[in-house]
Amino acid sequence: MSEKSRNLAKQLKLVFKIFSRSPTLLFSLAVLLVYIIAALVVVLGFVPPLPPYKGGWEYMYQPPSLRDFPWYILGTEYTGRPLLLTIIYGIPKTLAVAFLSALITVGVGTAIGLIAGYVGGLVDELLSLAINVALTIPTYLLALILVVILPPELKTNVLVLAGVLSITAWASLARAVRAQTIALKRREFIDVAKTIGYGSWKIMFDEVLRFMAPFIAMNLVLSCVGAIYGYTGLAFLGLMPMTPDNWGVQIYMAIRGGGALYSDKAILALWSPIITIVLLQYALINIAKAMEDIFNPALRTYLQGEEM
Amino acid sequence: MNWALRKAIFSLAAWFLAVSISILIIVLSPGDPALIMLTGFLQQGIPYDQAVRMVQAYIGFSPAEPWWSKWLRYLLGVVTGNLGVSITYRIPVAQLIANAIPWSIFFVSYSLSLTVILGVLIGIALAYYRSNTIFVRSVTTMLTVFNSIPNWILAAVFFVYIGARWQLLPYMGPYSNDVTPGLNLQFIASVLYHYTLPTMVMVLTSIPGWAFGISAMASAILKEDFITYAKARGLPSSRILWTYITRNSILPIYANIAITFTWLLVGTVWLESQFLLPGLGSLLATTSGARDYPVMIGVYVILITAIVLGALFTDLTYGFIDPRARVGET
Amino acid sequence: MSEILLGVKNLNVSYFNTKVVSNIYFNILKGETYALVGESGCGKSTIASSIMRTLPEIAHIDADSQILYYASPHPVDLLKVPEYEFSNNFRWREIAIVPQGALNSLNPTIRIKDHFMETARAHNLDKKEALEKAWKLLEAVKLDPHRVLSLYPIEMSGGMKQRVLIALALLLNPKLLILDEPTTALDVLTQREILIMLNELKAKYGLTYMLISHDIALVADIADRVAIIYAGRIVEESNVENIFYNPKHPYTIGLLKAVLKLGEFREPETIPGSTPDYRKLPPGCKFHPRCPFAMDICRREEPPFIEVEKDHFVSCWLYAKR
Repeated sequence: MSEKSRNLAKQLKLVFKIFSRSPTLLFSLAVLLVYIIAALVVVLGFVPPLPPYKGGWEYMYQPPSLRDFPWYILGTEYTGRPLLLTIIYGIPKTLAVAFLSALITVGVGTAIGLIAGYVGGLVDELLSLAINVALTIPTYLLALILVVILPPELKTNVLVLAGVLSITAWASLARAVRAQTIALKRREFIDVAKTIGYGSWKIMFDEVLRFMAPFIAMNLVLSCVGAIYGYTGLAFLGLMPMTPDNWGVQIYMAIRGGGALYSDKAILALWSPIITIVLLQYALINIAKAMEDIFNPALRTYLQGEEM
Repeated sequence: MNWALRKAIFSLAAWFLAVSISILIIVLSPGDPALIMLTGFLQQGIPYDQAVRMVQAYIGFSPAEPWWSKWLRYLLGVVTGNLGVSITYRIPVAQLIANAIPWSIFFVSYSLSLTVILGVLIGIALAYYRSNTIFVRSVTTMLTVFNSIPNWILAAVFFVYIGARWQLLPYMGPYSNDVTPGLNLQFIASVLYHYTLPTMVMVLTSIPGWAFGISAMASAILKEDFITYAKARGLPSSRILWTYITRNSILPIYANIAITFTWLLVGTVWLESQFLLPGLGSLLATTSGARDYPVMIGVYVILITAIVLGALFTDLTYGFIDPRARVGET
Repeated sequence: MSEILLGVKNLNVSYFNTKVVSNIYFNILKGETYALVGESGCGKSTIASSIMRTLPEIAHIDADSQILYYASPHPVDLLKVPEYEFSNNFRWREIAIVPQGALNSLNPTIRIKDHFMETARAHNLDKKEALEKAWKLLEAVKLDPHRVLSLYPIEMSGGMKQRVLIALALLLNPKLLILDEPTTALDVLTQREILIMLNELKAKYGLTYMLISHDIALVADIADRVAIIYAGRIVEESNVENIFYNPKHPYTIGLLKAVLKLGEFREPETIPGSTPDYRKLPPGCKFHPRCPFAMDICRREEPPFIEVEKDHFVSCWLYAKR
């Protein structure tokens, strides 16, 4: 086995060790897997299509029934469609927005951090200024304004949503990556002086990325959490297109249109999206925490030591 | 004093850039608010020239101007305190904001203090009693659960259950109707009572971050030599707990106060609107729904200002609290 | 014949299931400087922490280990004294420590004055008295009290902090002072000054020192009696002259050979091999893997601790009858 693949095997073994220690973590992974599978199932067309909109009191928030099993076991929601099916239909779009947003956040953040740290000089000054300004602007604030301003055709576009939800979220990662790059650059100077400065760019990036990989992975997962918060949260404010596949919209409608304040009619429609969101966030946060543990050198050495 | 001045100037620059770039993004995005307003007026049958003038009066710039002109004009307005006029309320935006600010300041300060104090206490307890696995595990689970619940969801749930259905705590409005606003005890008591539920939501969802952070810090501190040395000298555990563990754990995390402050401030958008409380958050939420752009953008600018001031304040006070920071600055 | 001040009997310390200190027996006599010498990690600091009772929670001391302190009228087993009594009566009042790592033993967030006052408060010392004492002690360690008391640890150099730790140790007039690597991490000149000062203080305050060090030169300078420690065991113990001019144990000989004397120009000879892994100690004599004289019996049985000449003890099969 080559050096690289041996290292990779060691890393994976370590990851597996951390994951198998905690039942909560295994549970979280299982949950995430279920969501991903559900998303795939929808995208590949293995679920029936959503029935057409059926307005009116007779169809809204119907109690659970056994017809067309299993789709009506949670009853109907505010558009008269089966609640369970609608919730499931929300999974792929939510995951897509979340994951795309996370990719943008992490991609932009890492890139800017690396470039700023490595190139230095004026480029660094400008990029650092950009980072500081972005740090000052909370993502959700600017996202809120943009979501209101943008025309409807853009607001339903998954890519645009992802971009809006990560508009300044890349800044804290950029700052961390930049600091790490600078620290490594100082060290690298000495090494590079000895070797021929051939491909030192690539060496630098490899070094930084390898060292920060768990941290970046953790950020990726946490960015998903943030994106889901924004995507559903802004919908709850009524600022997103009011499509039933957005869980935030479902919660909003259950309270305002379904009378959840007084009657139990819309209770399922209130709690189903809530549980769907909270469960997903819980799983993602646990996974992110585990990645932080991987990044913790003391824990790594302890676990590796057990093998000896 | 030199370093304080430098920090203040940097903050000012950051603020200016943040506001400028935000306005730039807004002005440049497809969906120019001025154009939308103009279209709205035209649809109402208002003649073009008059409509243009109205837009100018409301938002400060004319929809026909080039983007850089709009941008500069709005910036000038911000600097001179003219944030336009609200479309829905027909009064200057600055006035709306001035009425809203005290409520948000109160709400955020109240939540921030409770979050930090309780978060630190819980975090220290987690580290100090780490041998009691039942305690640690149950507390950690509870904290993780609250960490996973978006604050607006908890707000909605509390609103529906603790408020509307079970009537356990007031859940609408900042004070009860039978109290006269002013510096009297009944008013203050009523306000505090009405803000209990919203503050609970804010605090419950913000404590986990602090508790986990402090707990990690304190666990590391416990391994430090100066803890062992304090014990060797026979110092009482209370002294070690406060002056050695807590003090050393808080200082590195002090900057997080600004982060939590920002987070709470953004949270008011949901929390204030959910519980029908006056403040910048609910102002932003309601005017967003009504597409009242002058107010939206005005509130946005004020929020950015508050965030910059919060960060500056945290930075400046840190020097007074941590002796190590002072050494570097002289 | 000097009286015993501290007697360690059968000290066995383990971390989880790994034994780090085994069958330690030694006595410290009143007024002497007793040195524990060995490589890093050999257990010397663990012995000090056992005496001060500052071992971490995961450490376990055997029930039949004893640390006897000869206060009047009867010796007290320090390991069996309840914690609050130990804190009130013994910590700092009778036994104090100048810890290793002056860099990190002080609380970075409080001033030096606070360190003195909190120690005084913990032992119910009068505030004014304590301040006066602190003042005098800081002068005794050649620091300017007026300046130093108001400083934060970060504003001080390593040497200054080391002196402060020494002054702090003497606040309650202890009888026994444990010095854990008092000169490591200091430059040579400062080392010299600290050495001289330690000797002066010992005479002035009638102290007994337990010195822990891996610095042979320091030990040669100020110790009266020396115990050489390897893998948590005492392998040789005698007065300082015997150890240096007539070492018996191969490890001691190796240690001395590794140190160059002034005027010597040769390659320092290092002891072959590396420090043992405490989780996987070899059977028999723990030093045998690195010993040039290892015999068959060394690999099978641990040698007894025998008196090879008057007041000179060794644990080595070269000297034990079989």
